[in-house]
Amino acid sequence: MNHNLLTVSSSPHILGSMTVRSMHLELMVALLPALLTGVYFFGLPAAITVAIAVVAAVAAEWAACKIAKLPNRIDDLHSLTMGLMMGLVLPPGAPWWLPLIGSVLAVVLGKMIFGGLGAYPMNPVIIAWAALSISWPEQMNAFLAPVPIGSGGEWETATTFLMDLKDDVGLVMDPELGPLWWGNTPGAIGATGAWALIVGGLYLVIRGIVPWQIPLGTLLGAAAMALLASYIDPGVIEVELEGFAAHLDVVWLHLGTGGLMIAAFFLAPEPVSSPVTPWGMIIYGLGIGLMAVIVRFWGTMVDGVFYGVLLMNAVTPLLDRIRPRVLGKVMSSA
Amino acid sequence: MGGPESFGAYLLFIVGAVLVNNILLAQFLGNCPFLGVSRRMDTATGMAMAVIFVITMAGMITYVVQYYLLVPLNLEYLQTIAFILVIAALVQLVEIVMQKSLPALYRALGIFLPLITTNCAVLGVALINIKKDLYFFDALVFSFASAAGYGLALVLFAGIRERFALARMPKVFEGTAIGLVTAGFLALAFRGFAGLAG
Repeated sequence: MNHNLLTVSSSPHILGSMTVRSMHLELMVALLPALLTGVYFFGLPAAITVAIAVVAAVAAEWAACKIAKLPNRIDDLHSLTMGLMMGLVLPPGAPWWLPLIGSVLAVVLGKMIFGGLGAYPMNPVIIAWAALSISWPEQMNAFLAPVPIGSGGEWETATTFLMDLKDDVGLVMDPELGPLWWGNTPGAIGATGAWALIVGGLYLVIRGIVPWQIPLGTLLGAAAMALLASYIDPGVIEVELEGFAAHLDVVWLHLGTGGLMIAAFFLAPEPVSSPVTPWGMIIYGLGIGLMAVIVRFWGTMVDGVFYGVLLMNAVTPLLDRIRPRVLGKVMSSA
Repeated sequence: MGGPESFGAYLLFIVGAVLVNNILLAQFLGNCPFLGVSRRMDTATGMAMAVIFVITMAGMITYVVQYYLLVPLNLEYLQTIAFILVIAALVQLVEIVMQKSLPALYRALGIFLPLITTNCAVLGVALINIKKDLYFFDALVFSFASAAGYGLALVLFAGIRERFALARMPKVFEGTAIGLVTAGFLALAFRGFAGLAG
């Protein structure tokens, strides 16, 4: 006789196998291609920066839990994931204290003082990144020229493509899209290999960890704004792009560079600080994409995508007010 | 006298006042009610409306006072007192109207409503108008745009803070402490607009 047939229990009745821990595990797996690309092109300096960031993040969470006398939740792997992302948005070969301070800021200031996972209003990694890039712009903008493992070159400081673009708009004329998308270009450790981030991101979308609306909205917003800007901005018209293909090149250029991909697939869809409704997610994504390209074209900051995420995080509570209509509710006639 | 010339420049002028040089998050004026009334969305929107009304009206009236009363009479040194007088009268007006027509909001705003008089954003905008040497219409637009920026920041902030009711944060950070941290985050986000206009 089977007693289980008549068991009455409260919801949820169907249990998924996904837990907070397994979700973060998959998130880290999805970040692996980007991490490996970064280490391949930037070698040991990149590996050290990421390692410091990861260790510092976990240590900070452990210490914060100890001080606040909270139960230790390191095993949900959230701090580990945060440390990994923190390392990936920093320049390779940053001084050792940069990833250290960044991770501590992200975990303690960005997350723990709000009450831990699930309570913070804005993506803690980006908060830390923004604080670092305002406090130490010199170190945050000292990138390395890529030296693929085994090619035996010397490490040299270099400027990213977007920084060059700020000084010389003419660079959009004949962009070398290959290296930009492949990752063979100076930039943040995990943000240069656009293809690797797309691979990881698509995995997350298929696994249902990242809702497809946010990356799609972000990329669409950025593409639309880049296209529009390439038509209306006098700085670009001066160099006279000919034909639609040249304008499209500007779009590919902006999609592949800077932090756009890592923001679109990993930082923006952060489950705590992003909206929950489908339309809210699309608007959220569009806002990030627009902001990213607007700042790249007209702002003083090199890349606006992280600021875009922060800003849309701030709008998230308002976007969550867009709710589906309640079925059967009679609208009162005013 | 100066001001934006073309339509595009005008648009940038407005964007500059609302976002880039946001009166709250870039110039840090008027933080007191920002922290005081932002715990609930309805008081925040009410406050935003009241401030928009007061700043816009004050911007216009103080402009007239400055150029048609103080300057001809060589009384510019009375600027602060004269402006505060105008603002206080306007706040009194808002208070009387609100007490009669929106008593619930009037009670919710409490002390922060009469305190608009000492809200530095109001006097700040009035003074910036004069300092920037704007034309009357530009001063009107600038006042309204600045006030709209104030309202925007206040509403965004209230949205974030409403959620804190659900968070289990450490006791020491509850209330104003976490509010100030969040305001800092918001200011960090608004830094992204730097250099976009003005």
